[in-house]
Amino acid sequence: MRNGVDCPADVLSALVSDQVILLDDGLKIVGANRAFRSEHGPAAPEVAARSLGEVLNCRYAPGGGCGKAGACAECGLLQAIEVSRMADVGEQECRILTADGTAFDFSVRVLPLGVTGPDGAVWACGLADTFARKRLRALERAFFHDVTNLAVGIRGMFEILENAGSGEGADIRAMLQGSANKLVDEIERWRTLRVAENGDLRLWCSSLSPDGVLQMAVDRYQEETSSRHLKIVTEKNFSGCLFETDRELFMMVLGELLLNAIEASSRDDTITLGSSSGEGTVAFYVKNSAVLSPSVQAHVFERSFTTKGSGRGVGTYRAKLIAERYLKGKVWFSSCASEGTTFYVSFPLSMTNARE
Amino acid sequence: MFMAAGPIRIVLADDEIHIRYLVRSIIRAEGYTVVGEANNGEDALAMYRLHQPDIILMDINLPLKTGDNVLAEIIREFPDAKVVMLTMVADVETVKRCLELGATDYILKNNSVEAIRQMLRDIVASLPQKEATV
Repeated sequence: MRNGVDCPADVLSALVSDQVILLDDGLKIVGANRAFRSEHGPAAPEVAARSLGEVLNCRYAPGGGCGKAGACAECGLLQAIEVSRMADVGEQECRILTADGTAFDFSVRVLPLGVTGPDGAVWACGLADTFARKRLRALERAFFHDVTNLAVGIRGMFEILENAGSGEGADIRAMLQGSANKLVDEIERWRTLRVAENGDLRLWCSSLSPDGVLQMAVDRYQEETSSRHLKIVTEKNFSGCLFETDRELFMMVLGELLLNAIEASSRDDTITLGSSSGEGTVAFYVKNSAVLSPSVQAHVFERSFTTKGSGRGVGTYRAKLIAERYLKGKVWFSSCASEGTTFYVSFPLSMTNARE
Repeated sequence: MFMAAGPIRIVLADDEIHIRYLVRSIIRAEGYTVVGEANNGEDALAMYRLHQPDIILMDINLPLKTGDNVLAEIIREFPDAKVVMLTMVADVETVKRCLELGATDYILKNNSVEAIRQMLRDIVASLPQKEATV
């Protein structure tokens, strides 16, 4: 550096607080700074020669490394590298999901290093951890949107009620009751998510009948389904047994999956809600006729992913978080043209005997 | 005032039943007609094609197909369509995008009923005058 002071690379590496990795053309890590190594591996050999997906246990990378799965086309890191091939600096938001649903959110900046390694070009990739900031921002935006939406409706209906005749007044009062209930439910759903993410949810377990909870779910979302001209069919295949869980959390999980199906359905569609038994388990499923595109499937359990617009909708994420982290359950889905989309959630019959 | 003659026909699209109820009440109180209601983007588009109303009032955060996507399709098929976005303050960036896509105007749902009523009147007043129906 002219009139400057040479700064050893390892000093720079240690001073940069964001994580930085060097990737070769095969998307293998050929170098990493101290911030990255301290976060993901104590020494360079533990991260070197592996892809970022392998180091972070990306759900699309098992055995294959980065860039091998179809979903990799949606990966922000790979997109940033492609941009940097043509525009010098590639910048993208990147979310890497692990097999157990943990998300790593990064703001990625990629620069071609201008040197060639054994496997071709080398890129320097800066990974700024944006998970906490994005999570809070998404939560605030969705919470305020949903709650304000309901509160606005309630206030507006009060204004209309003042000039309403007796017949219409009864309708408005019923709407007000429904909206007030939804407002309380909405606040509770967001509060539960916040507490669940902090690891502080307490369980109050009791015995439930699978058939009974199916009917409860149908009743609870009656207004949503009828106003959208949808039909719900229940398939009760699990008579005579009880299972042990937290009733309110369970209903929240099933409700999220049902709401998801309601929002994905068109007028006059049928939603099937059912239960089935396995060895020591009870499973519930919610089926609708819409098909999820591969792009939607790749992100369906992400916290801030939604088909309703940016920053909205965390239902499937919330269902998976509560079911898997707290109720010892498992949530998954299938989607194809011939069968539509089915979300499944299974639980142990007994929380006490369930494997941790 | 330059007013449109004849009944104003409106399609209303919002996925929240209580918002539809509220806006429907305002529309009817003004003497306009709700010719169709939709609670998702696909139905909103179908309703528009079916009724070709004077105005479509449409939420932005719709399931199945978002309001801005529906807006783009309506404008592509019906370049003179009057699409008014229903939105919350928090959606202001999206509103800007919708106006760029061809939305006529927007109504903030978090306004008072009276303010929403006045916004609706202003939008109707700005419509090209229909042929007299006398």
